[in-house]
Amino acid sequence: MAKVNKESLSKFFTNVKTHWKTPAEGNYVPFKEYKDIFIAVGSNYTASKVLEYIYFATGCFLIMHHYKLPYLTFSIISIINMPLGYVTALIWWFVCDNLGFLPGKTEKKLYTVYVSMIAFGLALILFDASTLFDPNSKFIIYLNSLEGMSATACFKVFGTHFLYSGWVGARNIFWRKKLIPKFGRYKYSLYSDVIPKCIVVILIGWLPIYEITDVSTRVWAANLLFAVYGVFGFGNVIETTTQSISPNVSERILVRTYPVKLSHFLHTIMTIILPAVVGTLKNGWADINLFRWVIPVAFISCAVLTMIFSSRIKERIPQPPLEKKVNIKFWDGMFGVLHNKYRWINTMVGLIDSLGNGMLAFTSILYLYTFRLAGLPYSILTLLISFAGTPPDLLTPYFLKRFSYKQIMIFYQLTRGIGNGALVLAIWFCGENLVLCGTLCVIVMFLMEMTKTVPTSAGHDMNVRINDYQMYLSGERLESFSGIFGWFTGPITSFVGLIIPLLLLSYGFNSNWDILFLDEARLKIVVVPLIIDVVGFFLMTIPYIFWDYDTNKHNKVMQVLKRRAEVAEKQALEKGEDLSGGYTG
Amino acid sequence: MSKKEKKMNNMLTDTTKLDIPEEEIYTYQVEGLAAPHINKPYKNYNLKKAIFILVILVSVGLSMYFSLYILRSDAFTFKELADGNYQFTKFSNPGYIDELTIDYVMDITYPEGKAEEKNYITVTDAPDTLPKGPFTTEEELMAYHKYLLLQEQKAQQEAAKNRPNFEIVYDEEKPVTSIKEFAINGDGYIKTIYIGKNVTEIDGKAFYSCWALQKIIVDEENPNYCDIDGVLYSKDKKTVICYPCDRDQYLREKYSYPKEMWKWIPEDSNRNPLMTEEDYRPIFEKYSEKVMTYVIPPTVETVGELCFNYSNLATVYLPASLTRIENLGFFEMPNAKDFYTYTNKTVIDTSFEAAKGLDTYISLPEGLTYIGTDAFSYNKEMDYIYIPSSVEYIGHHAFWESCYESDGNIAGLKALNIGLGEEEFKAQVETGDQWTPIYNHNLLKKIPVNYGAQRITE
Repeated sequence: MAKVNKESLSKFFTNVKTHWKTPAEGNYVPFKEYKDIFIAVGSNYTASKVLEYIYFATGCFLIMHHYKLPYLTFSIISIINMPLGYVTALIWWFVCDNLGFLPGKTEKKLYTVYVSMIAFGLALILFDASTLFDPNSKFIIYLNSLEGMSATACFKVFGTHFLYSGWVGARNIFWRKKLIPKFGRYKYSLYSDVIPKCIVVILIGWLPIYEITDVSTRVWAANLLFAVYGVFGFGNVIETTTQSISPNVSERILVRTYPVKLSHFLHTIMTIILPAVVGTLKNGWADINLFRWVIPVAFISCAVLTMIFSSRIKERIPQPPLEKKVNIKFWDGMFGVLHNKYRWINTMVGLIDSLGNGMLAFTSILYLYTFRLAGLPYSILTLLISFAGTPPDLLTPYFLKRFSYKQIMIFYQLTRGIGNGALVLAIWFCGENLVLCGTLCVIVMFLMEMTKTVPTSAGHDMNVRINDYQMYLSGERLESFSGIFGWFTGPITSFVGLIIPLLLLSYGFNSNWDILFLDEARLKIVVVPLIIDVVGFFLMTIPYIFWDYDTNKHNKVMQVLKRRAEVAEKQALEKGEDLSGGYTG
Repeated sequence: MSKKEKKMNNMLTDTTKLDIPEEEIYTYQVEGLAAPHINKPYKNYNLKKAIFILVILVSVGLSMYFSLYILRSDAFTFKELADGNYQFTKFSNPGYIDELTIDYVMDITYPEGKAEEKNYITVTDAPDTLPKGPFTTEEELMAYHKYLLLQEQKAQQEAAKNRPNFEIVYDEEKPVTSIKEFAINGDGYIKTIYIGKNVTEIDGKAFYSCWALQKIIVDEENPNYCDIDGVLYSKDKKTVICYPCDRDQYLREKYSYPKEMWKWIPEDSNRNPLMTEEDYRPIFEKYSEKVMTYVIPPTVETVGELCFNYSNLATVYLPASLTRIENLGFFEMPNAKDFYTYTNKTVIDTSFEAAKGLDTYISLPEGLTYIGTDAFSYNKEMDYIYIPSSVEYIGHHAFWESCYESDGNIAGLKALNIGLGEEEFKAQVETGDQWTPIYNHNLLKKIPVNYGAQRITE
C-alpha cells in the first residue's frame, strides 16, 4: 500500500513538473495556472467577502454605529429608486446580452441617454430642486413627512439614482467593449474597477459624513457615497471565470474541485483574523478604525494579490465570436420565460419569502446583543456554525438520488419553519438566562445549517434544470429575461417588505441599535419577525407541491435538446457553415 | 432494479430513448410538460403585450402608492384611551419642529403665506475673520469658537429660508394623559419638550435617542411630574426619569460657551494644535466643571431606566439616598469619569455650584441595593467603581465595555471593588450573566474582582 502511495505520489509530482508550463495532451490548463487559480480565486473571494462589511442597509456596522440612519429610510429610498430601476433594467439587459457590442447608432443613442442621466443627476445633487416648489405645497409637505427625509433629501436621492444609473450604464458599455476582447467576459471588470474601488473603500471610512448632524442631509450624503461605492464592483469573478477554464469537462471539474475549493481556505483565515483584530480595537465593531484601517488594509491586500495572479488565468470556453452572438427579440424573450411553469413556482416561493424582508439579522442580534461577542470567540462561533454544513455536503450526492427535489425543498422549508419556531421558544421561555438561551439558539442554528446544505445544492441543480427546460420550451435559456419576474414581484415584495420594519419601529427600533440592549425590547424585535418568518416558511412549501419536473422528464428534455443540436449540426454541415460554439454532448 | 435502487426516488427510472423526427425537433412535446413554442408567433400577440404593460404599470403604480402612503408619517399620532383621554403614541418630525408641547391632542397645519423668518443668529461679538492660532488665552479660543458658531448659524439661517409656514394646533377637548414608550424616538431636531398639566403617565423610554433634546419643562400644575432645570423628575423628586441627551448644549448657552469642548487639545482645520496642553488644560477643566457636572438632588432614590444614556457628563454626584439604578441608567456616557456620593441633606440646585462644598465619598452610595442590566455599560472613561455592601442585585452586563486593553494594560475600569467578602457576596447578591466586564475579548480576560475591598479616598 505504502509502495503504491509512494509511486502514485512520485508520479503525481513528475506529472506536475512535466506539465508545469504546458498542459498534458487533451488538457488545456498547465499546473502553473492551478497555482494562480488557487491564489487569485482565494484572494478575490476573500476580497469580495471583506466588502460584505460595507453596504447601505441598517445591518452594516458603519450604518449601525456611526451613520445611525432611520430604519424606514432605506425602504423609502428603494421606493424612490424603483420606477427608474425598471427603465434602466431594460437597457441593462439589452447591453449585457450583447456583451457591450452594439450597432454604432444604438451605442451613440445609449451614451446620449446615459450622459443626460448623469447631467440631470448631478444637477439635482448640486442644486436644491425643492426650492422650485412652494414649501407649503402638499407635495413638499408630503416629502418632508417621510421618515428621515426632507424634500431636499428626496430630490437629491432621486438625482443620485440618475447619476448612478447613468454612470454605471455608460461604464458598462465602455469597459465591456474595451476590455472583454482582452480579458474575457468575467475578468474584465476587475481591471476597470480595482483602483476606484480601493479609493472608495478608503473614503468610506475616512469621509466624516456620519458627523453631519442633520439627519436628512446625512441620509442623502450617505446614499450618494454608497452609490459611488456601488458603481465599482469587485465581485467573485475569478471563480466564475473557472467555470469556463477549459473545454474539457473533466478538467473543468478538477479545477473547480481542488484549487478553487481549497482557495476558500484563505477566506477562513480571514474569518478568524478579522474579528480577532476587531477585538483589539477600543470600541470593537463600533470602532471607526474598523472602516479606516482594518477593512481597507484587508481588502487592498487581497485585491493586489488578485490582480497579480489573475492575469495568467484564461477563459477557454468554445463559443462563437462575441460580435456574432444571436439576439432574441424582446417580447419573445418575455413571453418565453412567462410560459415556464417552474419559474413561476420559484417566483411564488420568493414572493412568500418576502414576508421576512426587513427582519434584522438574527445572528447579529444573538452574537452582538445577547452574547456580546467580539474577537476570537466571535470568529470561532461563526466558523463553528458555518462548519455545520460541511459533513452533510459530503452526502449530498446520496440525498439528491434518494429524495426527489420536491421532497428536499419541502423538507427544507419545514426545517426552516421548525428551526425558527424553536428559536422563538428558546427566546420566549429562556430569554432571561442569556447563557442557556444563547446555547439553545446556537444548537438550533447549527442544526439548521446542517439541514441547509443539501437543499442548497438541490436548489442550484433545480435552477440549471429550469434553464434546460426553458431551452426546450423557447430554444434559448433566456437567463437575462428571467429578470422579468422581478418586475412582477418587485412592487409586491417592496410593499410586503414594509410590514416588519413598521412593526420594529413600533417596538422602538429606529436608527439606534442600542435599543437591543434592553431585554424586553430585544425580545419583541426578535420574536415577532421570527414568527412571521415561520408562517412564511410553512407557506413556502405550497408552491413546491406543484413541482413535477422529475429526473425522467429532465432526461427526455435533454434528449430533445441533444437531438436539436445534432440536427442543427447536420444542417450546418450540409450548408457548409461555421460550427464554432456548437456542442452536441 | 435492486431494493436499494428502488428507494432512490430521484434516480432515472424511465430510460426510453425518444425517437424525434427531424422536422419535429422544435415542436416535439415531452409527456407531462408544456409544448415548445419556438419560431412561431404567439396568439393575440399585441393584446398580450398590452395586458403585460398594463399589469406592470398598475402593479408598480399601486405598490408605490400604497408603500408611500404607509411610509408617510403623520407628525403626531394619538390613541384614544378607555377613559376618553388620549395617549401620545408617536411623533414624526418633518424636520423643522424643535419645540413641542404635550398636553392636548395636536396637529400640524400649513397656513398660506411665507414662514416667519426665525433668527438663528445669536452670536454678537464674533470676529470678522477666523482668528489664527496658536492661542494662549481662553478669550482667544472663545473668539475662534464664536467665529465658527456664527458661520454655522448663518448656514442654519440660510437653510431655514425654505421652511414651510406651519402651525401646531391643539384640540383642548382632547387632553393627553400619557406618553407611550418610544413616542419620540431617534429624533435629531427637538430641543425642548414642554409637558402640560394633563400628562400623568410618562414611560421612561418615551424620549429615546432624542439627540438634540436640551430641556424637558414640566407645567408646575402637573400632579405627577416636575423638572429641575430641564431634567425630568417624578413630582416627589424620588425618581430622576430623563436627563436630556443634549443638555450640555443648554448649559453651554447658559455659561456662554460658543462650542463644545473636548478633553484633547483643539486643532484648526489643518490639524495644527491651537493651544498648548498647559494653556488648554485649565480652560477645559473649567468648562468640564460647568457643563459636564450634575448633582442629582438629595431626595432621589431611583435613577430611571435609560435616564442618563448618552449624556455628556464627566462628573455625577449621587445622593446617599439612592437605592436603585435601573437598567441602562448610566449607559454609554462617553466622558463619565467620576461618580461621587454626597451625604448632605440639601443642595442649592443641580449645577456645578451645588457640588462645591458637598460632603462626598467616591463611587456608589452605601444603601444602594439594585444595579440594573447594562447600568454602567460603555463608560470607558470611568476608572474606579466601588460596590457597597448594601447591593443585592447586579444585572447582566452591568459594567460591560467599561474597560479595554491598551498597550497590554487594562484601561478604563481596572477592577470591580466590592465591599462584601467573596462568600458573603455570593450569598447575598444575585448577579446576572457577565456582570464582570471583559477587557480582552480575544482571550476572554476579565478585570479582577476585589472582594472585601476598602473604598478609596481621594
